[in-house]
Amino acid sequence: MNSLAIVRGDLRARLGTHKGLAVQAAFVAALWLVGLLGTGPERGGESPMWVASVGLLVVVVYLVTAAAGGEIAFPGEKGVLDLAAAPFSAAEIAWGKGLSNAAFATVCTAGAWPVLLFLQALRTGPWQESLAQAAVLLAVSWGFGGFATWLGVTVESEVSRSVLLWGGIVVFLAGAGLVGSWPWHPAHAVRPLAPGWARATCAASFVGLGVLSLWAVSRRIPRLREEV
Amino acid sequence: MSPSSGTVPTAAARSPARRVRYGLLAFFVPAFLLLQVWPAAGEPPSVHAALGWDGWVRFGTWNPLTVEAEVDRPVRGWLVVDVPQEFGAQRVRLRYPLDLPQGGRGTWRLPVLVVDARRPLRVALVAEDGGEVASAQAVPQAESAVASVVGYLGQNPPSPPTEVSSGGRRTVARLWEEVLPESAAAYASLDLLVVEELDERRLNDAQRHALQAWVIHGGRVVTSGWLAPTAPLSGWLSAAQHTGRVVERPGLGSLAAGPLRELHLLPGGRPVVERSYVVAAWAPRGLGRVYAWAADPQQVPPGSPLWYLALPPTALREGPPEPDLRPRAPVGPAAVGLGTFAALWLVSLAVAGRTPWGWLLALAVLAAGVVGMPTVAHEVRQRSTALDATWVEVVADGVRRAYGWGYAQAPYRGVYTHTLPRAAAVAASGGFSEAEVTFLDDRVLVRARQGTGERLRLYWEVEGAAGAVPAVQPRNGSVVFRGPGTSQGVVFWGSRQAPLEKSEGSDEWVASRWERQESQHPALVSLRWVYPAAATIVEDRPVVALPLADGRRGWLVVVGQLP
Repeated sequence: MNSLAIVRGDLRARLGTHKGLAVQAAFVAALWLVGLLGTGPERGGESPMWVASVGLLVVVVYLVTAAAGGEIAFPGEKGVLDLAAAPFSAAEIAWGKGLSNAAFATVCTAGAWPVLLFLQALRTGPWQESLAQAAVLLAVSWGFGGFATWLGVTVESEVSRSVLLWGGIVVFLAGAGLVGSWPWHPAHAVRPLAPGWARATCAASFVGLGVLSLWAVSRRIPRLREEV
Repeated sequence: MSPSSGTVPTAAARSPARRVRYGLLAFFVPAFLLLQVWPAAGEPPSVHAALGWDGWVRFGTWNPLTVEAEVDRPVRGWLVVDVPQEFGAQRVRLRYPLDLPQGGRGTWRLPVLVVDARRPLRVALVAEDGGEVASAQAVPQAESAVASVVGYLGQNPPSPPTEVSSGGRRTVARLWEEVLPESAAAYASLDLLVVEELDERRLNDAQRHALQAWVIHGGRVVTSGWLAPTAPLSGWLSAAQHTGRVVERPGLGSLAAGPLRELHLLPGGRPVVERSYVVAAWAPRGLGRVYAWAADPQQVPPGSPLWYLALPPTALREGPPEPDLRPRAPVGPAAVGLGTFAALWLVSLAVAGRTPWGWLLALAVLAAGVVGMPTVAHEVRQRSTALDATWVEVVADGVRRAYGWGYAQAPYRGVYTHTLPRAAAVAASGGFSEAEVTFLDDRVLVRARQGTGERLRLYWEVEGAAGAVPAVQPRNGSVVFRGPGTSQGVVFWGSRQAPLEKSEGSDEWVASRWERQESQHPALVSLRWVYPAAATIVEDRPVVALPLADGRRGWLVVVGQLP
């Protein structure tokens, strides 16, 4: 029940406050813009659809990760450090943050799904394709969210944390072209008509990253309490 | 001779004969009953298709297709014609509405653009639920493709020149009234119709109007024999009447030796004279001509000037140049559709952040977005592929025919729908894998499945389009025009042209300020797309050209009478 209380509190802070709404407004505006970019006609075999798909991935990953890592501070939101000082068990905190990240990632992905569906329908693609793309968005953003949560409790310096977090994400996502065409890489798996196994591998990898990160968070909380 | 061997049979002799009679009875009675019952069971549904003029076809243009169908149960659905294309992967499907009662029969006379001689044309009756009731194939043979077809209504086919000046061979197709097309477009593959016998009672109104429209818009008909002068179509097709007197003539250049009928020219008729013999007469009918020959067509040898007079010059028709289309990003409707969802989603999240019941609203908005986005996408797709259409509408002798060319480039892969006016004939070409043309009562729908960047070309003909019939009259060196939409109108006549100007105090427009003709005037160029010999037309008679004023791009061309 304490885990659910953490989820409720986080969602209220991220959606119910003025800042939360302002962030959501910026988020849906970004979705709208990326969606419009995706309507461009296809020329020379290059489809703006995959650019838009990767763009939506970046937007959703950014917001979920920034919210999970405390990069965007919502008024009233309790971070892991705050919760560690409360009478919650480490597992409850880790579960609560995991569920909170999952709920927020679901909300953000739900906002992006109709845009993906629109872009697919524009090209007479099946609706199931957009659902599969949305599943990749959800898994990748949740995995990065868990990683950001772990960084938040592991690295004390805010500057170092930001550099590590965004540097890592940018290198990972933008480096897709450098490391070769790994089909399971998020930038490939989110594209239209990506192989199903690649999407499944990608989603499973990031779910694993999320679980691992939250397990690490739960291991970190007792030490935090000792340090306090 | 003993009595026993006479005419009275004994019982033993009667027995085999009786057995034979009973046997015959036993066979014929059930057979008779079966034959009585069989028709009540109904013939199985059937469909027959005949392509071309008595089997002869001209590739690359409209040919007549006659379909006869009979059904044993009520069938409501579509008559489907699958037309093979030059590139085997493509398919064009024509669909016509069909509603036949039980035991009903139907006949369709359709124009079909034939471009492929290797694959059969398939005709099927398809019920509304998609089930195929009956089907048939019409197989165009490569050897039945000719460069020129002369149609003949009569008993003894004539012998026109077999060589076409532009190459290829000419043939005579023996026709019957029943197979004459119901649309002028289907006559495009016929160069000349020779009529020696015509029973107008076997023609329906659509066939009569189609024949007249074809002639008025450039078709040519030769009449010979004794057509009923009081029958409306026969009278209209006749340039002269036979007086009943016959003279013997020596051999002429245009006719073989034999009897020559005396011709009485009808109003507008002009004689064709050879060595003081009137061998033929001709009269204009709009842009076309009708001829009356003073001898049977069989007496006109292949090298006769009468054939060359009647046969139209061969000319290749070219449509307008393809516009430089670029796929457009349909930003406007996409922005509205996506923006509406984004705004509603934001509001629903704001409510959800304050009260748990708000999540139901968010779910409802998400569901609406998911359901509505395909509709938005469809709208965006349609707007991104508006047909770039060009029209030429020609009015001659009060009969209107409109020709349209449309181009559309697909920005995305998928199916696109284009709506055309109620056209008699529609042809699709260019880049697509499937094109389905559905002829409805008030419009024609074209659905084309295209790949990214593929360009669809459509060509259609509308016959007898509604509208006030304008009038063109020469008067004292000027040309008077009465009709709608006359701003920027131009009159072409001879080698001159003059702008139309409003006449004071009347509803007439007058062209009197003549100047040298611009041979590349857009209206003349447009007219050449339909009539390659447009220069000859404007040489003979005044032609008024007006920009179309109803939102369409193109020209309305009103052809005046020959002076």
